[in-house]
Amino acid sequence: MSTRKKLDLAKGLVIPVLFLSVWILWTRSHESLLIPSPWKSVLATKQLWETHALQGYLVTSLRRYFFGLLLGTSLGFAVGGLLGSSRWLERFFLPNLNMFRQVPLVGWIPLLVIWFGMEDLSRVVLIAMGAFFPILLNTHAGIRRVPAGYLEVGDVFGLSRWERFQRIVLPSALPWIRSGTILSLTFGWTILVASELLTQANGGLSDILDVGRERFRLDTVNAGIIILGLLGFAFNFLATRLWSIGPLRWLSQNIHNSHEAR
Amino acid sequence: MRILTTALAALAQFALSASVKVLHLGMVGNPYDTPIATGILGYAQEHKLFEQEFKKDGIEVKWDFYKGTGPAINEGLANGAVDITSYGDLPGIIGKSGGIDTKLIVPGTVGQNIYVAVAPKSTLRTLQDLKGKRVGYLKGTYLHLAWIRLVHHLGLSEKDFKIFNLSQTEGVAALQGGHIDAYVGVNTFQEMAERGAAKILYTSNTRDALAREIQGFSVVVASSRFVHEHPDLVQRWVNIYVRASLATLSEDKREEWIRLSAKPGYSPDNIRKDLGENRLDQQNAPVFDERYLTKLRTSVKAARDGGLIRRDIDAAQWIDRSFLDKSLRSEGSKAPWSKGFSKASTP
Amino acid sequence: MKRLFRTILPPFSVQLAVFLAWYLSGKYELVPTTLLVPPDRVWETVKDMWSTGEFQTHVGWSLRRVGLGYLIGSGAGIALGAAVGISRRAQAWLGTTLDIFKQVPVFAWAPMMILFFGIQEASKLAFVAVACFYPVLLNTSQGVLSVQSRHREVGEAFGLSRTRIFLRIVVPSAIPSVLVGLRQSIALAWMAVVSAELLGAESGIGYFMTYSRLLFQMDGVIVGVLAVGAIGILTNALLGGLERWLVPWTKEVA
Repeated sequence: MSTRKKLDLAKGLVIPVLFLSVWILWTRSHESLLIPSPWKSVLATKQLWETHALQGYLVTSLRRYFFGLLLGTSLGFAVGGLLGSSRWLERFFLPNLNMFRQVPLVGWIPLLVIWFGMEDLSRVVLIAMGAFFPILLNTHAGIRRVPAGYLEVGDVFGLSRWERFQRIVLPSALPWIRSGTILSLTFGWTILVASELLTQANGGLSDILDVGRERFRLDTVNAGIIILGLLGFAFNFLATRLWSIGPLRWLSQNIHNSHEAR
Repeated sequence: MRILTTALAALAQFALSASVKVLHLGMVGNPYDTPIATGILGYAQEHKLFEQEFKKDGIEVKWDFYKGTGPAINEGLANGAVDITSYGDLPGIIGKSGGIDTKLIVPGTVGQNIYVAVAPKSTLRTLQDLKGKRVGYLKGTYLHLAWIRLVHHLGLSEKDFKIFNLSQTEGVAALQGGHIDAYVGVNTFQEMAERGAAKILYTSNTRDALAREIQGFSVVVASSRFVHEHPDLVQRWVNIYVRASLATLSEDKREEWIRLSAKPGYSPDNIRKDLGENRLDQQNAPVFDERYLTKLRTSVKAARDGGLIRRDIDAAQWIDRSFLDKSLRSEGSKAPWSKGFSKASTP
Repeated sequence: MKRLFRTILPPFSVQLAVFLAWYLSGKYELVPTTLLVPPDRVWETVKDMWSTGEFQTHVGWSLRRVGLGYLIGSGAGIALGAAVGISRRAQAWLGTTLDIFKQVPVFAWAPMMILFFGIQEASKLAFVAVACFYPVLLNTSQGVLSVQSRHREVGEAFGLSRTRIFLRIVVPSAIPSVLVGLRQSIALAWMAVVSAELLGAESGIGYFMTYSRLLFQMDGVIVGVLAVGAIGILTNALLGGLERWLVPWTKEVA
């Protein structure tokens, strides 16, 4: 790393370190339940891990997240593909869906809970709704933006509709679909937290935050924020790297190949 | 042809009752988040009375404790997640008035107290002092109704205060943090007062008429759908309830009652104080006596006056005495309270 | 008539279908009407609430909170975004801190705000401001950064001072991005207000929905949901219109 970069890194760390130091010094003299020392928050996190409470919460939250994403992305992809291929369908449904998109998801929560109960289903549905739109819009945009020239090449080669989709449309739309999935994954995680927090989680990670808030224990709340922050970072990381691993690499390379074929 | 139809009908009947695999009991959650019932149902839970009875039919009994207490149980009743429940007066009234088709099959306990707590250093002394101040409680619970009746008596209404909707645990935190001036809670606040963490401005745990009027009571309610489809199961359930009452409601079993009621995590001393001098067999006897019916009537009216419900309830239509009467005849005939409870004992 | 059918029907077909389903469900009791209250009863409730002024009060509170929180959060977002975008120095000092806090899902901050500020107004405003902050920050900084260096060089060639370069070149080029950020964050801000009110309040639409639920008045809950949705759509449309007016040359990107 160049000296300049090292200097930049150091500069970046100044504020966090300063913040931590002030916090530690403050709690040294004014220890209170409202402002526990940073160490207490770390302890709280550790305790959650050791009592196996954390694992339980993790499993529940991840389960909801996974199923919600599965539902949302598959539906989003399917509908996006449909709307991208048929002008008629697009004209009919796209403005509608756009309007639904603008309804804040949080508003649906009371209704979903009443209809689907306090089990996983209401949260899975909400996450699915959150994941649905980015994928839908991006898939649709990606398909629509396939350059006309490419499609003509498909015609010249006499490709069937399916072949054309597979070998020209899909690879061309891939960058869009890719950013759609990244958006879905990150937004889905935000919605998971929201859904758990606002429906009194039972079982999910946000329970940590909820209990902390109810009992006025900032160390617990901090533990929750640390855990959620770390997981958020992990998902962000995964989402962007997802496309370069294993089978998906083949897809990305496909773009490369089809571009070369021109 | 006739044989066929009868056979089909019998099969259908068998299929219907056989189709019940789980009996869902909706229970009110407590501040300690423990899935433990108190009182008569606590006894039944401890001795697994329901489970043993229904095991013969291969029916599992599930005790679902709702953190959201009464209001959440109403949603469960509405969407079929709850078959039978024992919960508070206001949730029961709100549910019935709001259109949930239920039947009041057993009267619950009477005399649930409220404790209006303030911060230990608070300068507020009387309820009048609270006018315009910030008061917290969980709306839709018996505490809410008791509060309404209390302030109505003082010539005030809910609108004369800044009301915050808070659960018991949130209430504790809010009081300690100075975010509210008073909280209307259950006897855990009495416990706090003894520790010096709060002061009780008012409690209904006294002998005066107003206190008796505002005290809460509970209702045991079954969804009409369940009653209609499985009257036999309901009858057996009520029988067990009466049996459990027999086992718990006598003065020589008082300590046992207190133990059962404190089991979720409450302090036994507080339960004892909460119980005061009331006789168990008078407070909790499962009989639809004049006292209970009056309480029901006046509570519905208070809820209506306080704007908590929009439609009146026909108590006669809500109550279904058939199950209880049958149980009392067969099981409870030996109980001191089934016959001896006369109008004279109404306060 | 056929023309009307063709133009009006398509955009609203799904909404009409949903409404029809709702109406039929009420008429034929497909779903318990205590839970899915039929449209006519909901309408009665809306009229009731409007006449007692209850509707206006709650909506007013929510809007007030959104407005104020949004101003604070977006303001801070624009300021910091511009700073980080222009100055490499600022980016170095603030970058890491901002990145760390960005990882936390925004709703996780709500309990902390409530702990610190209690159930008073400050906690809701703080949460709304925090929710608005990041989209605006990210979009503003990106907008400023993407102002091509060529344009800046032109400014320098003309001998313009740094401030003038900023005002007359950077700002106009960055505005589209800033507006995108503002539009994204109003949606988030609105969600934040409702969430904060659901968690602990004595007024506002979120509070009204909680209160209705506790009193088993599902029509109130539905009114709340509709109000939240309607205002969400309206604010989006308003900001979208603003965007199209100020920068008509941008194309909508998902």
